[in-house]
Amino acid sequence: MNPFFYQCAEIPSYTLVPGNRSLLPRNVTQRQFPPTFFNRCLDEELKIWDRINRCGGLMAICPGTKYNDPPWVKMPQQAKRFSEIGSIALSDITGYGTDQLVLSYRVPLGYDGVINYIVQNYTGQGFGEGSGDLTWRLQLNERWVKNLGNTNTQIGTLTQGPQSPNASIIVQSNQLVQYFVNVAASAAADLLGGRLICSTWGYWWPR
Amino acid sequence: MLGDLRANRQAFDPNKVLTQPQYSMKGAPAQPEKTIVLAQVVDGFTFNTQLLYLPCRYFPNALAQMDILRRAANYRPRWFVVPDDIDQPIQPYDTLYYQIEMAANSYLWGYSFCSVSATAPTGGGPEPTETTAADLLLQAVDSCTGVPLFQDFANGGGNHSNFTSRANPIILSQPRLILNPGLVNVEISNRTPNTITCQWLLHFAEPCRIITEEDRERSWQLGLSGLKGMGRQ
Repeated sequence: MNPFFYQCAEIPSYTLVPGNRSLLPRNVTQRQFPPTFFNRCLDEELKIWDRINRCGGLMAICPGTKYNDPPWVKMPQQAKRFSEIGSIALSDITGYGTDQLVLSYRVPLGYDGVINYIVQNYTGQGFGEGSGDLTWRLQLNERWVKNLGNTNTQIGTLTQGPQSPNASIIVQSNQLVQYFVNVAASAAADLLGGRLICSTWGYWWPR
Repeated sequence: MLGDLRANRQAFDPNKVLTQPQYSMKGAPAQPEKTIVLAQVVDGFTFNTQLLYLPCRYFPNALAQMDILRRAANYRPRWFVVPDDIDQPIQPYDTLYYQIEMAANSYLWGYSFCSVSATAPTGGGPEPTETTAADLLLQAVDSCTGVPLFQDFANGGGNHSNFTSRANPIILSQPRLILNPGLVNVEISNRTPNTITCQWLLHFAEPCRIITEEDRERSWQLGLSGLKGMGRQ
């Protein structure tokens, strides 16, 4: 078949439907063209990707460390644990109603990781869970973590163990992890003393 | 050269590849020898009189990368909007997850994004409040390969087109093949305390499946199921 020419003869007659005093080619757009040279180019790309998938996908054939189990589920042998803990005294907070940075760190370059335990606590008095006096926010780069960008309750603890995972947040190489707390302007009358604690625990593994 | 083009037109063959004749060494050739001249693609980009020929800019170069897709037959446009309901705003500090489904082996070739309106949190400021596309972050991932469109979430401000731009829509540097089963996971993240209404318009080229092919496959399936039935008996 010559790919460059549009030839009516290539359209089988049984594909035609009666039209305006003639038979028309039939498909969804009421047009049917034979594939061109450029369709073959696209088909070549499709074949390459098909082959990649048959080989197990990009992750299987690209260079890098391979793990038998998903590393965010089962800690690999090469993985390193981390526990980042930050706190700020309530008395040190000057900007009520604005986000205060409590914890900030970057994921090591060349490592991916998972945060599987988070802690957000207030050690003072007068805080009612969900009252809105305190709001914790966890951020990855510029993006708030789903469901953890606007929480009004404490989560986890640093003083009572053992710790069982309460999160599964995958982080990528060189990502900036930031934990904020927002003390509402109306909270000054409710809260008394103490510290605001933000912490993330987990491990990262080499790519 | 003009004569060649005329000959090309006379041949009534828009896709025919023409090889330039050998030019005499005495005169400087108008272009390198044995270059390939293809007929002008006729599509929406051709008819857009707002487009300026700016060869050093991104747009015409990216458009050139789309040449093969533009010249291929049996692809039709299919545009998706995310979220599909414009009245579905993105909540403060939240991320919208949305999966779009299209024919396998479609090509994503461009997109447009706009932030429509925003509502300030209750009790804070006048309503509605101002918003820009920079208030949102975007990501799209091919569900088959897991390869994202951007390395990490991209700021909507850099992906914004207010539908009046000459370079609208934003086109990819190369069309992205969406493999079987033709699913794209889209995420739009709200960075602000405001409730924002926005929309991301994704442009795909979808392969047309010819009805006759589907008929044939259906009849094959019927035949196969009939054979299996016979085997059981």
